[in-house]
Amino acid sequence: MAKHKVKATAGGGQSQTKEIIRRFKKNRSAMVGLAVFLIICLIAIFADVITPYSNAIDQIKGARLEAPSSEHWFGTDHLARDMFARVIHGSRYSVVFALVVSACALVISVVLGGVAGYYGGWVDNLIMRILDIFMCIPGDLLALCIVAAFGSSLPNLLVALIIGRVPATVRIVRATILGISSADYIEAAQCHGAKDARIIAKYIIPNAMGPIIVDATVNASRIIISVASLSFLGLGIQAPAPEWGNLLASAREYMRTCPWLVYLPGLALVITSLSINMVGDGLRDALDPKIRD
Amino acid sequence: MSVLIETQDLQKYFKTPRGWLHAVDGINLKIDEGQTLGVVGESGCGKSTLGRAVLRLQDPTGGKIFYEGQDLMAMNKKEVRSMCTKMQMIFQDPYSSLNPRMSIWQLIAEPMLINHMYKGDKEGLNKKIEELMDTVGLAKRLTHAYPHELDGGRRQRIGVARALSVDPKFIVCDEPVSALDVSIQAQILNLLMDLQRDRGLTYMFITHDLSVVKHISNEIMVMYMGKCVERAPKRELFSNPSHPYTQALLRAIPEPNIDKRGELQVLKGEVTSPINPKPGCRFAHRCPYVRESCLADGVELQEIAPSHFVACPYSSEING
Repeated sequence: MAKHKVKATAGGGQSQTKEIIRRFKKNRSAMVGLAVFLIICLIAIFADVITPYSNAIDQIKGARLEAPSSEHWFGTDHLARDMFARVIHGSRYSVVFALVVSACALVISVVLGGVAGYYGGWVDNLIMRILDIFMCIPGDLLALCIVAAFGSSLPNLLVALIIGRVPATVRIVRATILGISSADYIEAAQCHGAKDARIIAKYIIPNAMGPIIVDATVNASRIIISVASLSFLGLGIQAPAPEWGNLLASAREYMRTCPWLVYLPGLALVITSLSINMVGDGLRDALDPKIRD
Repeated sequence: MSVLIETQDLQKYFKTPRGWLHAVDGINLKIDEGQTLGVVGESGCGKSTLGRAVLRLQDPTGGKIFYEGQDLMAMNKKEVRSMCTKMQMIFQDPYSSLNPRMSIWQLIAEPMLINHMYKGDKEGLNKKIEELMDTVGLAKRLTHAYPHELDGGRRQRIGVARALSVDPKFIVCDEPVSALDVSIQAQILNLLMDLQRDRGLTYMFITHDLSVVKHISNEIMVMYMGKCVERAPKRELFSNPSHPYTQALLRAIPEPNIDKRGELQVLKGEVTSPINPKPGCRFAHRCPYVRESCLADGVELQEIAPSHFVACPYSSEING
């Protein structure tokens, strides 16, 4: 601690970012989560290098429902396709959906929740009542309905998942900003002559970031499960695309005889989701200046 | 001595579902340069709102505010913002009035940065902050600490340093010591008084603590439900309280000497609602000397002795 204080210069803002990074680094489970998630991201990016996409789609003659071996690490499925290639390429869907959907949901929620929380009054009422209507339907069910109604194309699926996530996130953003904008230090800033833009940038956002980022990571891990669930039900990514939910759905029938077909994609799903959650927990602790190390 | 701050018939009403809440209702005050006006009253009497209205942190509903003769109510938002280098505020709660994301350096620098002081002169800024921390008694090693690492007294010292950073002439102190321990209270009060002596500051000191106000003020204003019921120089008010409410307040101060203790008269009844208040004296419902005419309109401040104003037409009879 003493060493750190000497190191920090009178530069202001930067030292706190450094402090957050330092605290995050000290959190072992968060670092493990981050490492695992980065590895999964790398696998998703370099999936074609690891094994060509054709391996995930093409059937191998005479190699139906084979157990894991040195040739086929994860065995083969009921249509004689290499499971290893399918699981590796499946990571692309999960990672892309997790990042894109949670980022979009975050941006939309920060704007809507920010406006509702900071300005209040009728704007707040209008936004929140409309979202209340969405809140009546559970997010996954809503996504399911949208996809079922408009067809399960990729854009529809994205929109459905975003809409499913937004209402709960807006509530969190709004509540956070509502609490902050009534704090005395906002009034103090006004008293020092700060303009709205400065108050939002230097007072409200830094103080609201903690819960919002944590919520975004939790969202990301939920989205991975949601995409898999929708695909499992046949409404998400369509076969033969090797989405993890698809793999689980088709492996279900062979669960007794060939359990690896369920375990391996299932494990991939759990590890990805868990690693993001661990990062989220670590971020929450690192962002809270009140938690001492 | 010249008048620094003056208000004329200052009003601040809040709209509530049940009507208009008269938080500040027709306050006239004058504070001379280098003096301290103590504002006392019970919780919810509008004293904090008065402080915020004077700084235009909350826009007054009516009336006028003058700073060195300039009319603050005639200014637009930008001009009011520029006034913050002349008028500052120290907040009640040192726990919630400091941004937890800012270090002490940033907190004290913030008002100067906002007002474009020491632009491009980082060394000057650092020196100024060092000076300020020294003035308010904060150790230099705390420069990069965060508020949550400090106790209430040190936090309040940051609040004082921050208010002083733009070299204001007038500071509204909104119960700056009521959230602190008694021993720390004395330190902060002495600090404020030293600063006043050294820098010729003018204070409006809002508190509900009569012993604090007795310690620091030159003149005292007693508020009840948004109105000023009595205003007098400190000595005069404590030796010759004339409004029944002021008398009740002073009687409520605990007296440690058992031989001096008189019979304790407790005020009866509750504070009536400040929403759409009835005409007449607002204290009438609790006043032991109430008469029928008290409920009629026209209870105004009267000067009963030099610079001693009382809003009770029967004060001379009561004090007989």
